[in-house]
Amino acid sequence: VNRFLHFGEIAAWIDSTPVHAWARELTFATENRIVLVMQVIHVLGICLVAGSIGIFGLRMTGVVGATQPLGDLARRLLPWAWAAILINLATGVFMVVERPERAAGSLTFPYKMLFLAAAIVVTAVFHVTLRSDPGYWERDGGRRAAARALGAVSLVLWLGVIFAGRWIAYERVPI
Amino acid sequence: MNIDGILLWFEEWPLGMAVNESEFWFPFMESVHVVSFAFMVGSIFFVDLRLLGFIGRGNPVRLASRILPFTWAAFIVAVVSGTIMFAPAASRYFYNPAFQWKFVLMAVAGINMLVFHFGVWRSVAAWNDAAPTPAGAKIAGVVSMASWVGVVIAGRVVPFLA
Repeated sequence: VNRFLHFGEIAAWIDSTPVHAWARELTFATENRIVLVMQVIHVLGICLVAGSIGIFGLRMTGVVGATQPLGDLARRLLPWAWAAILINLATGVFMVVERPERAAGSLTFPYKMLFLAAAIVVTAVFHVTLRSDPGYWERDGGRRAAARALGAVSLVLWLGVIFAGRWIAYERVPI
Repeated sequence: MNIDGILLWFEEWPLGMAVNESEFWFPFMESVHVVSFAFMVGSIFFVDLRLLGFIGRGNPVRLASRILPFTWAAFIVAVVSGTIMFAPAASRYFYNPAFQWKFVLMAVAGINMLVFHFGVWRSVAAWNDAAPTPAGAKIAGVVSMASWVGVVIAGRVVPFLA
C-alpha cells in the first residue's frame, strides 16, 4: 500500500522542505518535549472525539435510550467533535512533518487515513441531515433501521481510526 | 508480603507475560486501553461541561448522567487492559514518577466524584432543569476535568521516563 501510494517519495520530499527543518529544530531545541506536547493534545482530542461521537453513535444505534431528540444531541455534541478533529489534524500534521518516515513506514497509517476519511464523511452526513431536519432519522421504520446501521458503521470506523493509529508504532514496512 | 514481592507476583503472571511477548496482543491491548479511556474521559468531560453550564443548558442534568453506566463499563475495560500491560513490567512502572502521578490524579478524580455524589448531587432535583448549577457542582466539574486531563498527561509521559 505504502509503495503504491509513493509514501517513500512523499516522505523524502517532506524531508527537504523548510517546515520539516523548522519542526526538527523545534524538537531539538526543546529536547523532544514539543513532540510530547503534541501527543498529549492529540490524545485529549481523541478523548473529545470518543466522548462526543461515542455518545452520539450509541444513541444512533439505539444502545442508549432516546431521552432527547437526535437533532438536539447532534447540535450539542458534534461541534465539539469537529473542533477536536481539527485540533488532531493540526497536531497530526506536525507529527508527520516532524518525522515523515514514521508515517510512511507504517503499514497501518494509510488505513488510519482511509478510516478517518470515511468516518468524517459518515459523521458529516449525520450532522448535515439533522441540521436541516432534526427528525430525519426517526421519520419511519426504514429511516430508524438505516440510523442504527449507519450509527454502528460510524462507531466501527472511529474504532478503526484509533486501532490503526496506535499500531503506527508497531507494524513497520520498507518504504 | 512486601511491595517488591507483590510487584514480582504481577511480573510472573502468565497472561501478562504472554501478552507482553506477542506482537499482536500487546498493541491490541494498548488500542483497547486508548479506546476505553478516551470514551471514559470524553464522556466525563461532557457531563462536566453540563455541570459547568457550557453545554445543554436547560436540558435536565439527569439526562447527561444517563451515559455514566457506559462510562463505568469503559473504566472497567481500561482497568483490565491497563493491568495486563502493567503486570509484566510492574516494578518499572511502579517506580516511574509519571505513573505515580497518574494514580494520585485518578485518586483525586475518584474522591471528587464521591464528594460530588454524596454532596451537591443529593439536591439535584432543585437544579436539574434550572440554567445555573450550584457552585458545588461547578467546582466538581472543574476538579473532574483538571484531574482527568492530568491523568492523560501523566499517562502519556510514562514512556518518556521509562
